[in-house]
Amino acid sequence: MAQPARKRLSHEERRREIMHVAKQIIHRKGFEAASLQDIADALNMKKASLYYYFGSKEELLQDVLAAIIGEGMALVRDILASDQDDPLTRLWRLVASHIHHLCANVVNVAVFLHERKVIPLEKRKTLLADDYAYQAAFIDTIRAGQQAGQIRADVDAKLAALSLLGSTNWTYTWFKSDGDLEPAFIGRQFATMTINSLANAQTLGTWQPPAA
Amino acid sequence: MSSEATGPKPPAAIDRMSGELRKADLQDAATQLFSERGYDGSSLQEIADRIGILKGSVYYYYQSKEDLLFDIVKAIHDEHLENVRMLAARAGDPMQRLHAVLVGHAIFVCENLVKTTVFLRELERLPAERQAEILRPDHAYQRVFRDLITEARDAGLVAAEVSPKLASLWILGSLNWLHRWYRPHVTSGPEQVAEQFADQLTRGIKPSVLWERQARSS
Repeated sequence: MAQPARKRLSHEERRREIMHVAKQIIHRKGFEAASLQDIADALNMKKASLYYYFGSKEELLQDVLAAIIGEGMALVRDILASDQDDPLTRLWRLVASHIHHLCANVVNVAVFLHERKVIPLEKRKTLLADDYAYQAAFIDTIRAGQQAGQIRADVDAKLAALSLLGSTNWTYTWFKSDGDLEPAFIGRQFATMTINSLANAQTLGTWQPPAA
Repeated sequence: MSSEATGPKPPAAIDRMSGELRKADLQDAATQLFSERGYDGSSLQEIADRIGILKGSVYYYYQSKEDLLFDIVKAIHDEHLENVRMLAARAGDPMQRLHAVLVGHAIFVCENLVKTTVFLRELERLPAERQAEILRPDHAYQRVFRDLITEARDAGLVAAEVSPKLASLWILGSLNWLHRWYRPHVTSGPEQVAEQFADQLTRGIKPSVLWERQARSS
């Protein structure tokens, strides 16, 4: 079989290309059913060549998942770093950007949430740490909101964070990019419901969401 | 299928159960196995081993793993649906009924973690037509939430700017997520968790100055 002409990609670029294709196949078939042969075929590569980039199917999956959560964490860090924002504004931004990111990356999220358990426990630590940090960002922001007198004191911050993470994460199961709901609209509705559910009465009367 | 001696011997005391009871046992064992290993990682042989029957006996009821998954997922879905419909029909204004549905559903999830996990995680292992058959064209399950929210909005108990569709998805996301983290021995009891969740979720859609500022959903 004649190989089509391919521009020479760097090692890193090739790795990313493989990871991108692998993600689509894993999403479609599930990790168990997806094979390195499937991935090699999709890239017009020999299966043996894949081993030059990844030691195993499991290692490939690990790297795919790490990249996904890494992207999510980068977004969160940016928002948390903006210290001119009050906690409620940070919370609004966390929810709105989380939704936006999910809508743009349905495949990423689906693969991450479904296939984490495939990675053996001892290797899952970094993934878990990042995932935990993601959750902690929400918990900390809610607590900061309570300290700033914006969020009701009787709210259990951890339960509240788990509730809103569930609400936002679930988006990947129903969002259709070709549907009639704009991610920006979904983000505004979800962020409003979040603030409305946690802020105290006084704050709800005065606080304004950020313009963008 | 001659070398059945590979599996564990069925317990000597196993009764000749009626046909119907055996099928339910099969579904229970499969549900348990699916929740532990995932649908992809489970085999009909392992299911047979779990309850000490021959793999051939499994084939009497189910010729494929998919048929078994279908029955399990359908039964769980219908159980959930019956539960929320019952809760939604109780007395009270729409907001009170919604609150009751949320509390009841949250408790149901916490007390049925294995079944809920299998339903939510493995539904999409079924082909699209079979998923649609379970969820039904009008998404009966989601409808219960959506209709209550619409009714509450019409009564002025939910902000006019709320999209009932998005609100029901927001609520379902929160409640469905419970199965991923709720563990009876490390978390507060189901009732306590359910109350905070129902309180928080219903507050989210109540009228407020904040909602008034949002553009009306088109």
